[in-house]
Amino acid sequence: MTMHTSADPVRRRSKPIHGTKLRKLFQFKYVLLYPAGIYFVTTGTYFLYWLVRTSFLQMTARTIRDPPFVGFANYSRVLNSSTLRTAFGNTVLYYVLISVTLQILLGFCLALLFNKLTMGRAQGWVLAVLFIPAMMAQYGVALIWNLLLNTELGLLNQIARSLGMEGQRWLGNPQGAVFATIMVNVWQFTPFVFIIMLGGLQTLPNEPYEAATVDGASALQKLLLITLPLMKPIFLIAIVFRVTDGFRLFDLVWGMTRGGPGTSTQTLTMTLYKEAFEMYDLGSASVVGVLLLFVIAIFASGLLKLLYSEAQE
Amino acid sequence: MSTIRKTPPIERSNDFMHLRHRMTRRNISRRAIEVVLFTILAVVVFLAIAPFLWTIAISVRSREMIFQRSLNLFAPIVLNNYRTMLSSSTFLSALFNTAIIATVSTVITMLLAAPAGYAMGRFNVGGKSLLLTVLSLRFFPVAIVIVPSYVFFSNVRMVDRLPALVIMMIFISLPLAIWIIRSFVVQIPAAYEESALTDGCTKLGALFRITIPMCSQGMVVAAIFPFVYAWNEFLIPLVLTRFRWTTLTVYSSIFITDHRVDWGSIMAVVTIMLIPIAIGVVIVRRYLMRGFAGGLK
Repeated sequence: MTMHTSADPVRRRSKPIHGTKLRKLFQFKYVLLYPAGIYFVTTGTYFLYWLVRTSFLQMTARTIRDPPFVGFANYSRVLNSSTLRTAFGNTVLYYVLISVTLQILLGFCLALLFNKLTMGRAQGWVLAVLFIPAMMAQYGVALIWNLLLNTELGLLNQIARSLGMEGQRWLGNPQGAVFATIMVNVWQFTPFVFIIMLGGLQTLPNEPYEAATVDGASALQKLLLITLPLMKPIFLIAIVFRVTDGFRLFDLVWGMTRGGPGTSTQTLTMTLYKEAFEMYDLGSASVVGVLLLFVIAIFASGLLKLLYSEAQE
Repeated sequence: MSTIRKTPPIERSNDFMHLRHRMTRRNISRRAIEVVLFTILAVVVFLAIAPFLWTIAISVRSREMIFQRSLNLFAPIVLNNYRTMLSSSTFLSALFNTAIIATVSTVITMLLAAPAGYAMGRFNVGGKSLLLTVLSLRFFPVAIVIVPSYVFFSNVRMVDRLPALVIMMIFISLPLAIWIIRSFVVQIPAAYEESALTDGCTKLGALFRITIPMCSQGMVVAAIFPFVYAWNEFLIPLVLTRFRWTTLTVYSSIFITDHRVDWGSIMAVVTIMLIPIAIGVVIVRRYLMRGFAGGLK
């Protein structure tokens, strides 16, 4: 780094750079990437190598010192287990499809609603308050909602009882637990989606709308033919964020239900954790990890490719 | 940031009263819509923070008041939960640990992220593909690396020690920090640095004397997220700590036992966990919208 910084900048700049590839690597702008790059390449490759390697080993409490190679035994056992299928289904259906759809729809509708509202200086504060749920620890949120949904002491049931209704056992039955975890997930992240969407709406150009008004377009036509196409990149980025977070979900559901009752709210990450640190079968846990890696890589690369082609235009 | 579209120029008309009438009617309906929208907004904001307000309310309640079946929105304020908490050495060490882990990992994350974000923002190193790679690194669950990291850190006997936790915290927050710093550097015109270079400043000098001071606010915003991520993290300390480096999130579970749940203490811990979040959102509030929407530009 010092090699270039000590050189006279003016002379260096006026000289065209035509070095070998090796010299290019030591250019100032590439050197700047080294600290973060070296960190990520070393930790990333090391962890990935061990993840894949462990998935072929029988690594349990007894065999941790010298784990034997077992080929695809872990894979066939884990991929055929009904727990994993349930966890996969739960993650994809409840915490990705349903949760993300609700978050995106609600967030976009709220953003459309408040886009026309001039909040002036209050806007920053409103957004700050709305950003609190998304910034709060998911485990903390789980604890808060455990109390709110508590059968005896919870605020929701207390309100219901004071209105003369029956209290619900929210987290005690499978349907209630699934509903509650989805609801809390949507509660926590809809404001985040709303902020992204509002930011997108406020940067849209005015001209297409003016032209459409001249042509006599209705509000619905403007929404479908102008707003939605222009908002496509914003939608994509919000979906990428929320879908990948759906696959990562652990703290929230772990804190609320531990995956129960039964396996009704068990997620993929939770299966991984339970295999590794309750069954102490690190090989099987790594198989779940490899599966998660593949699923997210497919989703994220597909969505990012869409985003990339969008950004090119 | 006004989004009200320009009203079309009013047609010239001799019918002055008619015009005035139309304008006032439009004003009244616009005011009515505004009142309705502000009401909905107030409800939305209330729904977003009501659980936190309830958390704070419960944390200053006596045990007898918490364990009542009936609805009590207001109760006498009792600071017992905080008093026992602040006199408990396990709580204080958990608080201290969390603060240390978050601070150290934030400092290192920023030291790694600032040059990378600067290179990507100023020189467009790696172009869009590197940008999307960095973004996609953020999407992988920490659960994937938890088993390999556990194996590694147990082998080198670093479980329940600060370096292991910091290394993992950097892993989860570095991509977003790079992404945010880059989005701030892009907004600073390169002309400032170029004039510094022609005045005889070195490239590194231009970076430290011109660019970093100019995007110091951006640096603060970028530093908030690693801190909050480390502060909030649950899975990493759950797996990689035993008792020495327990963090607040893991510590809060000790009040849940099979026969009793001490909700007052839990809510007091959660309230304390909220404090940095509240400070963080106040600092990042101005950058919230353009941060995510403008990140791609």
